[in-house]
Amino acid sequence: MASTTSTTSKTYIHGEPVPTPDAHAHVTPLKTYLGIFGALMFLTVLTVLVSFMDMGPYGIYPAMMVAVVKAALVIGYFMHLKWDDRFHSFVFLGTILFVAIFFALTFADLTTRDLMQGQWANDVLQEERIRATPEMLEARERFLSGSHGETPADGAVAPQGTTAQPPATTAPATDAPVQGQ
Amino acid sequence: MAHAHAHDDHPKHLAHHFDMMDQQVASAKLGMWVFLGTEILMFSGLFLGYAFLRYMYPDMLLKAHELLDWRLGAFNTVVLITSSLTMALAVRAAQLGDKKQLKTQLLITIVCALIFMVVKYFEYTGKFAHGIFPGRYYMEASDQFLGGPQMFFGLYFTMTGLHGVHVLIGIGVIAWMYIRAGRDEFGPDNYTAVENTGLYWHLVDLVWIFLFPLLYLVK
Repeated sequence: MASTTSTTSKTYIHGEPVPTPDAHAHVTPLKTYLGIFGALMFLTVLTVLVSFMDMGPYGIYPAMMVAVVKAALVIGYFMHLKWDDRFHSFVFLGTILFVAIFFALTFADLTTRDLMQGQWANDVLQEERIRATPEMLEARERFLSGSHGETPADGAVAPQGTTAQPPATTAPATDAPVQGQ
Repeated sequence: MAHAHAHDDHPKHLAHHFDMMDQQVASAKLGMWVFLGTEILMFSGLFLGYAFLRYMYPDMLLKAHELLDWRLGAFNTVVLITSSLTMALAVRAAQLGDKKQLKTQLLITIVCALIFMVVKYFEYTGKFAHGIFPGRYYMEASDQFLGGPQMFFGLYFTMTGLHGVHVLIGIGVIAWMYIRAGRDEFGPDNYTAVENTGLYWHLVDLVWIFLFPLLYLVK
């Protein structure tokens, strides 16, 4: 409690003393810190184990859920937000709100392109398909079917099954902005 | 009001432009939280880039991430979480005025951060040795295609690189705190600098908590 602080300075507003929220008084017990540390370690092991269940693209859901729990533990206890001035929570949650808006608006676009039908909806994808050279499609096939995971060097040292094409014909892949017709 | 403190003993660490310690501490911490907010917003752009890539080219991403070694990522996660604990313990030691403990915990935090960077160094050089570079420098031109692994590794190097820069800056700031602790600057009345350093360091840990599953684990 307040007895741990040596500063007993008072705040005055219009000459009246007002109590100040003394967030500094709180010292987290060692046990709590060690408990949080243990929980974070457990969740790390958990997220690794879950990733071996091979859930394909859906694996991101449990992974993100665990990550959010870990983040909440770090923010609440290690960063002390649980006992801190509430205004700091407001600043933090305000930031998260804007990150959410950032993601929501972007995905509102991405996920509804197919619904828009016709004209401009899938122009970007369409143009990418037009720009894809046979060499690129072949490279794609090679990459997605190959056992790239085990030996990353394979592709670099011996591009197997390539019909030696001059590298000049392959356009610089995706770095260039898509040109409209 | 401006001279309210003239009646009391002037607290040793109170800067002249503040009326009292509480106000000074509150300003410093609010400033730190706003700064952390801008950090989160900066990283969120990269995370959104990752989400975009994942949405557009799921096959490629699930394949490309196998080129990363999850064991190294997991090891670094453990190292960073440990350093977060020791950083929290350092702040606690400062609160309690335990100088020896403060210095020890700061030192362990620095060592953990260095271990993290050494592992990162071996990861990066391992990738370079196999021709894995970001963007169009990825392997041969014939290995690149639209929505290909060169895009994944562009993001991988940018995200882990920016995070790595934060770790390096963190090492510098924590070392500075270590030096100041040696000069007896911190105690129960004055530990805001250590606390804010801790907040920064925990944010670095937070970013990694999300980077690890997204880049190394998700299959």
